[in-house]
Amino acid sequence: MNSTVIVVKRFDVHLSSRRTRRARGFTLIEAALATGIVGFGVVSMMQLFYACTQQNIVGSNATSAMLLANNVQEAMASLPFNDPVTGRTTFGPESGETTTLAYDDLDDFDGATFSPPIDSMLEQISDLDRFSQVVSVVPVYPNKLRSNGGATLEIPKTTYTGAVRVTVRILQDGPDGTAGEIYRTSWVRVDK
Amino acid sequence: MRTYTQQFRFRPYRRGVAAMLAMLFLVIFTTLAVAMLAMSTGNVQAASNLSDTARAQAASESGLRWMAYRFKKMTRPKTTTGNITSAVATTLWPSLRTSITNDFATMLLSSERVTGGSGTLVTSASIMTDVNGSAFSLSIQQHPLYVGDPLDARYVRVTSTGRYKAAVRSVSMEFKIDKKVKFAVIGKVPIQLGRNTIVEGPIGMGTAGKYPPIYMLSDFTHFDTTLKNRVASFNTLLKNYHTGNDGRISVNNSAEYKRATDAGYKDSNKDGYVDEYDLFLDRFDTNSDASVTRAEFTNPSTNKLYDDNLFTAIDTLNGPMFDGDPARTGYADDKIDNRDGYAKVRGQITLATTSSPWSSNLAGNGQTINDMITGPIAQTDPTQPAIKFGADSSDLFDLNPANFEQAATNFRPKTGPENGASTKTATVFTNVVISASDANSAAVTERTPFGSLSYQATYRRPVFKNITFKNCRIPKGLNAMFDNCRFEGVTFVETERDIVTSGNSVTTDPGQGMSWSQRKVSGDNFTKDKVLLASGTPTTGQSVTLGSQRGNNVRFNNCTFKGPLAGSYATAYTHFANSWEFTGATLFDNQVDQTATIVSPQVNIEMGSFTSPGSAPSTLVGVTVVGNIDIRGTSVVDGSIIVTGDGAGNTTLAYFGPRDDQTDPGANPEGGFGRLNIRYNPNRALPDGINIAIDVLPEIDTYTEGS
Repeated sequence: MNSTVIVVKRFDVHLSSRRTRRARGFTLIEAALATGIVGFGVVSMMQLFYACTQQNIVGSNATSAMLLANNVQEAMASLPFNDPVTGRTTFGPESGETTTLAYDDLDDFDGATFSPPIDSMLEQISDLDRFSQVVSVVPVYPNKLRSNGGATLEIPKTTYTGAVRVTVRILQDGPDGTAGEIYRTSWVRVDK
Repeated sequence: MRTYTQQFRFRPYRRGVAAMLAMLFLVIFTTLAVAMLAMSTGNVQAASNLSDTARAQAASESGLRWMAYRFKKMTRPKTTTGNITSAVATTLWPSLRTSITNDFATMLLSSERVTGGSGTLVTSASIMTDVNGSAFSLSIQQHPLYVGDPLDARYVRVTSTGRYKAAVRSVSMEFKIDKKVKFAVIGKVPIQLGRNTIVEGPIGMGTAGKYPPIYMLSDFTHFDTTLKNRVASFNTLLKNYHTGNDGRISVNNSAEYKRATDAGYKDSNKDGYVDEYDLFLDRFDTNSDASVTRAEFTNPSTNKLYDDNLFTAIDTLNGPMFDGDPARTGYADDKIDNRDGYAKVRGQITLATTSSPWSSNLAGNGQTINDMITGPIAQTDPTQPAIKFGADSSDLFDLNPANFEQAATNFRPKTGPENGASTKTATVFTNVVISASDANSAAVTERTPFGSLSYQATYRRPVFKNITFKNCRIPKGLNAMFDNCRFEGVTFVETERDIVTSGNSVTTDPGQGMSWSQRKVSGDNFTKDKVLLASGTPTTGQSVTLGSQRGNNVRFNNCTFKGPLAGSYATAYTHFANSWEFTGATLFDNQVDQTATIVSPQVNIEMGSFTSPGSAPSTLVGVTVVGNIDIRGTSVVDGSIIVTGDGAGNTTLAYFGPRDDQTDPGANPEGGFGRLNIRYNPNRALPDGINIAIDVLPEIDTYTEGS
């Protein structure tokens, strides 16, 4: 029992003298390493936080964009296909229809850009002024609803076909000041 | 030893804590990072999914709207059956299915022409709505869909499934197979609505280039000078500052409403519009309770109502539609208020002409369309304008008179010997083909239209007085005058079917119809003063023409009709040669057939009294199919007026002057204006025999999301 204790002690003494020296240096290295590891982790985390935050913003913007597109769809839902007064004579706002509130048929919205965007009652939403709603209305063949989908229109806007496609693009101001498209949707309306 | 032992225990522990802590932090940070990444990625994915779903939803709704449009525009099957029952709908389905298939075959992209399904189901291919991948496909299935389905074969379910990327959304709506006129008044010639004439339902005029296609007079300018002047000022305001032709200013149109309020007008009945009715309230609602009682509408100087007929016309609007339909609150309660819902026209006015040529036509007189349309038009569909210009055939009713031939002919066997044994007494004729030899009074010579300064012809007529005719037939060329007679059951008036040109070819042209009417058979050449005989040997000053020999120009004076009146179809409108006049206190009280009161697709009808408009208040139930019609006096139309002829000058509803060709807005009949309540009644079935296409109409309240 005693001899065993002695051995331990010697061992301890031996170790104690070595480790006392190594422990001091190793602690610094260890601290540095720990700091490095933690720092690396923190930096990585910050980058990740940033990326995640960006992603959350993208998701948030996407849902805002959908809301804004739905606002336009809702605002146009109750409008007649043709102007109540001039009928099919004019494509786009008729003479005197200079404000959104005066729009009284679907094609009045063609080419309209709402910035700040509007709600479904055509009131401006100033809180979302970094977004804008861009509306296009183009005639489409009732027998080919995907017609007039390219940059160049195959059916002139003055041609009455009995059907139109309404496309709403939601743009968002970027950091450099230029607006980029973040959402678009479209639907078809037909003359009753 | 204790020290060593403590040292041994302490040092390894301290070294391990630092590493462990670092590791622990790393683990925590990593976990947090992964969690954040998952969450943010999830957010973006959720937004993306939502976005795709919204686009799929938009595509599916587009599909439903498109199918409603296709149903309206496609060549739909025709039927002569008037009432579309479940059994009739079942027999119609194969034809409708073919119509759908044929319609889809017109798609410009071959991939979109494909249809599938079998039996009561038709499915479409995927139909793209844009170039970005949004598409819908349709499923069209006739009910019943399962045992116990509460909907029968008259209903068709359309399910539109929209797709965008992986997102799928479905919407459904029921469509009903039906056959209806859908207009209170529809015709091919200009329509005039006079004073005390109120229309509950849509109006249509299907000929472009005839002006004015619609002409409406105010109901509030003929009995009180103060109100008349105010209405005139208001209409000037409308003319100068109102956009539209609906005769009313919306309180939501801030610019126009300000103009109106600045000029002293207001929305007195709080219905959201400033119109003539508000001026009427302002004038007579003395206690400001938004209603006008009989006492308030009584002229203090005469102690009589300013216009009893107008009061009644408004107070009885929106009445019961069918037997057992309870009257609305406020119906005929001797009080005019919002519950009566006055509008000169409640429904859309659909015109084939566009506004530009009409405006140009009026410009020469310094007039505008607003001058032609006086009184509020209350469109019931907010997505449609009050007046639809440039309407095409799919917006209107097919008015080809040939479509009504079978309907008219169906009445023939219900008269004369085909209906039963003919019996004849001095005062009662039953199942008889009436002959000129049956006349019981001296023949008369009179001009037609009767009493008109612009008469077209002069007829020699056999006269029948004080006779009751039960299911009798009036043969062609009788040209009779019936005085104080009673017609029970069905009455059928015959005429020549094939109207021919001088070259003996059958014509549909109304100009040729007039030539046919005047073409001499014997006697003198036709003039409007030559006395027309049906047969015999004309003497000097007399003539037999094709019109007098084979047509039927009949006058009914002070007669009562207890059943429908029908007449043979003629290929062309023949003006005076086929003309029926109802003068004096002629009363229509059809107790036999609720689907039709008059079916005479090429006959000119003159109805009502110039002098005693209230003497015989008639009710015309179901359809009134005529070549043309002028109604004066007091009548209720509970159905539809269908004018198939295109040869007359106009369809005049109410009083526009003492001559039938007059359009005098200031004319005052000596006995008052009477009143005309014309109401489209969707609950009334059509008579059998009208050969028109069925409708497949959306039942809006059945819209559901999900398949």
